[in-house]
Amino acid sequence: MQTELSQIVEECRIAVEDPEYPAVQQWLEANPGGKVLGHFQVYFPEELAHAAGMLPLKMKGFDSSVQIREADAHIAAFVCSILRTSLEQALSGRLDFLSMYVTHPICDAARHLNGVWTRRFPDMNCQILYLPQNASSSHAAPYLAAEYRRIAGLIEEVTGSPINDDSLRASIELFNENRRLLRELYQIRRETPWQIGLADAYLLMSAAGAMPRERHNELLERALPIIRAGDNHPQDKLRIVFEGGYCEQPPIEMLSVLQDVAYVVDDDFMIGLRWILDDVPTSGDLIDNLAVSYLDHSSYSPVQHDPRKPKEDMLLKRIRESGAEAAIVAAPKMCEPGLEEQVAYDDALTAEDIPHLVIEFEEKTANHEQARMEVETFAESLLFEFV
Amino acid sequence: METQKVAIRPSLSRAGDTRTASRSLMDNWWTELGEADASDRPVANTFVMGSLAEVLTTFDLTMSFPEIAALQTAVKGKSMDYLLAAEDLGYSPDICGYVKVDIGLHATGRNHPLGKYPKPGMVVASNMCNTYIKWSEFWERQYGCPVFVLDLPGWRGTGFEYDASSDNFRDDVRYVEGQIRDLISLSEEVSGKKFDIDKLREVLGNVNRMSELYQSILAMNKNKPAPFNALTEGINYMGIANILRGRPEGIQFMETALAELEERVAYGVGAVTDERFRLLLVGTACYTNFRDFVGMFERWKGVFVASEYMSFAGGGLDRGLHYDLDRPVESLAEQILITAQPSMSGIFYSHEWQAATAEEYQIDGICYHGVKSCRTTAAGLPDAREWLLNNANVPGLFIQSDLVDSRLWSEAQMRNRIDAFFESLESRRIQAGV
Amino acid sequence: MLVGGVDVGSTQTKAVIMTGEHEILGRGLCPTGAKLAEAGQTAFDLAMDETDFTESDVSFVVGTGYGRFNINFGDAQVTEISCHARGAVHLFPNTRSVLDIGGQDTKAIKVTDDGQVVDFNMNDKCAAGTGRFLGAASDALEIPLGDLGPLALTAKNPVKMTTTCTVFAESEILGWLAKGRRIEDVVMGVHNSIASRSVALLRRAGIEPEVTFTGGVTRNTAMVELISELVGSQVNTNEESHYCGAIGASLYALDQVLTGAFSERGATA
Repeated sequence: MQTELSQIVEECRIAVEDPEYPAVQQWLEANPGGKVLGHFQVYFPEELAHAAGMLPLKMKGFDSSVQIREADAHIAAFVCSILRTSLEQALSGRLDFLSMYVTHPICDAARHLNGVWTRRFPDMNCQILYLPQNASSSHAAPYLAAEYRRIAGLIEEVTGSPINDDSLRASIELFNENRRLLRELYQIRRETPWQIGLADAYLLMSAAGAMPRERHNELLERALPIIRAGDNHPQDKLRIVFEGGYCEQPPIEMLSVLQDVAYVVDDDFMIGLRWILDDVPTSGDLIDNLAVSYLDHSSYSPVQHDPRKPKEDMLLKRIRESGAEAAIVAAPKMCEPGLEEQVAYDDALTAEDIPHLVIEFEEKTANHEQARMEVETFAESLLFEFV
Repeated sequence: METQKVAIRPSLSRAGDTRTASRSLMDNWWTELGEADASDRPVANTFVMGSLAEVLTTFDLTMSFPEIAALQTAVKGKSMDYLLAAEDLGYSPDICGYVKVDIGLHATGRNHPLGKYPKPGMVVASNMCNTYIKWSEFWERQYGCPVFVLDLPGWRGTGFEYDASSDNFRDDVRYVEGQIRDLISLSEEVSGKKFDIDKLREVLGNVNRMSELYQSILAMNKNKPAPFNALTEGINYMGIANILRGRPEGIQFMETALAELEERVAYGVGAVTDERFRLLLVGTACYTNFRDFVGMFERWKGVFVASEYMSFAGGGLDRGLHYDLDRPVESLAEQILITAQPSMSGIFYSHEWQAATAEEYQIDGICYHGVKSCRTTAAGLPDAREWLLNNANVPGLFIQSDLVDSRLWSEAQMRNRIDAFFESLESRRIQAGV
Repeated sequence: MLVGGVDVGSTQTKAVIMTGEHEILGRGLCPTGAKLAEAGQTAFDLAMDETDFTESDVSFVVGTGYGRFNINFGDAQVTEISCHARGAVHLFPNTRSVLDIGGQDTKAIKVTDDGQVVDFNMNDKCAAGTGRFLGAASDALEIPLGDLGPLALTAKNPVKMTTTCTVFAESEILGWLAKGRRIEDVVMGVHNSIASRSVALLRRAGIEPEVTFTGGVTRNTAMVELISELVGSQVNTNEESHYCGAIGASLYALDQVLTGAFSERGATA
């Protein structure tokens, strides 16, 4: 059984980590004429692409496996790594299969992506999707639904395939199922974190954006029972929440360092893939439903303003509900929204007396000794406190 | 017949009028801020892009512009104190310097070099800059004031233009209009006044007039020599255009400015004597070393005749903004989407605007000034620069510093690059036989 | 008729004495130190010593480099960017792109066939793509600078250096060694990092062959190989290349003597 689980994790790892996108290549071979829609962090209504027969692919960064050769000629310094690695992938020709590329203005640096990609890849149908930053407004849902219809219209043009209610319903059901399976994975991690290591759990989850969702559902359906049935024993490790993985991802080696020292019982890694918290209804106007789900049945991040969900309150809730004892409040280097949110998180956790470690990370850090030292020191200090 | 060069600058009767007016208006503004603070009158914090001054002025709400206040601390050589105070509170060196100066001001008693810096009673933050939103979250936590995020959908792709009859436009307008009406309700609460639609019409009419004047001012620099420096004097026009948007004093100021420029043009007087190189500035300015920065260009007889700054921080005034006073609220929504927002969201695709401006204003070169604080204006500059060089044959210089953080200013580095750029412009000129 | 070019760089000062026929009669090289004016004079005197002439025989001197305004016997100043461009085309007439990796900064210049600058790019703010990074590696590893190149060439499995900042480079280097990676692999990793950052600067204006590589770092054969690989063709180098700036400066001096080029220039000192 364990061998089967490691095979599943390995398939996920390859899909997530291989800069040549093997899962996409396989899909293209199996679907001649198939079209891929690339979407940047954090969230994209993938159901719309899927309903037109496209493969939605999450554009994310890469660790040191992608060497920056060309991207720095196009983007100024003082920006995060993920913008450069994702652009590098495109400039290297590895993303020539994209038929469409959509970004959302999550932050001031990322807003440039579309302009740069448009100049360099004029035939790639580069588009900006404006998700609402006035999320609590009563006008936001109708606006967002209209914006989704607009993107859907463009998808139909690019693919030549109409998006009708039946195809969209089927897609929504598929993605609802995927989100349910991911929630189950996270529940297992909260209740019995010793049954699955952080790095493996991360790969199982993030592969969602790197392969066809149908396949991802299959893999999770097989993996989850195996994990539940595992016979690992709980160890005396700290239970922590990791906050800061909403966009640029920490390198997988850093997660390995973390798992040696603590149980990460909840996190916001690739939160866009898990943004919607319950099933999108499949009756009534489906696009309206997607819009309402985005706004009202969703998680939180430093790049989505919503006064109904003050972020420090949401973090405290996450810590409480996952039974965590401490938190790592991280931000990618040069990430303006993340670095700003860090101060608010730090202040709030201090006020609540919740031990926490404030760190910066970069997806491309190859040397993790510093991170290991910081996290180990943090864990030690708490163990001494509890003794 | 030998033409005589004008050896002495002619005595211009209007010389200095604009500077005098802007100083006095700025003083008045700070006096108003101080009075509001002392009397606990609610102050609206807003920003140069998407300020909705039209609505706030209708309610006679005193407006504070933290961006302008921040840059003023740098011009006065005081920004470092505030930056350090914010960094002591845990704010990273890598975030926007304006935000940190503001946080530092709030953390140290709100004593700005130009007067008392008020607390916000409400905030209007548009999505034209993502940092505005994070910034307002700070005030919300600190002061518990209502934060209104004005969400303005922008350019969806290159060459984006609204078709007035399209669903896209109507949906966007509906969203923005709905939000404006919500802002009107909030302003009623905060100010304690009822909404007066005729007052709004009056304010919109004033902005219409300011828009005409602003465009006329910009166009003055099509003359040779260009009568004003788009950076040093431009910042003045922009600053006043923002703080007095929709007010009669704002109109008067711009009329004064235009008259002074017209006089200069009539006498052939340029911002720089013996103008030699005409430049476009793309990006923002360095306020800590403002005069040094400009001086490094002026010593080569280079003048900034245009700047992207005067466009995106002009809130649509440079884009033919014109409100329809018969439908004030709807028109406000429409015009923001057609003029103000594109002057911002268009900058990510502005290579074509830059090429067109270079031609219109007969520009010799473009200075791309990337500042660490402002990723909105800086992150894509190298890419745009290369496009202009290779597709429009307009040479560009790329230099970096910061808005308010003098730790990022390196005079030797800047000067080296600026001098090398002018050397290459000189040799281009020689090659062209000019 | 003689002209002179003096390049006061951050670490070294170079001078060249040139005839009206572009023949170089003398070269001088000395450390810059803290006294820039003296360094300029010393290098110039050393260059004069190689000729049969004296200072009064030199019609015009152009100063360049960061210390160009400190050369009190200089007649005019031109940036080292413009001078490198001229000098590189003088050394290799087919040059259309110049890459100069110096101790303090890196310059990537696109040039015309007569050495005029079309476009240039320099390292953003920090020293990561400059020779300084090699210096940091040399200090951290206690290996002489000149030995780093040959050592790098023996690498079989270079590490991927990810630090953007020279300040942290030392600790990253030591970190790799602590993990048991071989010295030559770490050293090659440092070289790769500098090479790719430098070539990225060249790409900002587009790389046009031939590419001429100048600066003290050209003595490092590993670096020459890496840069050639990244630009896609063998780069030009020669032993004169650290005089590139001074050569270009003397060519500008010649322009003045022959055509009065400086009289028309807008810049005042």
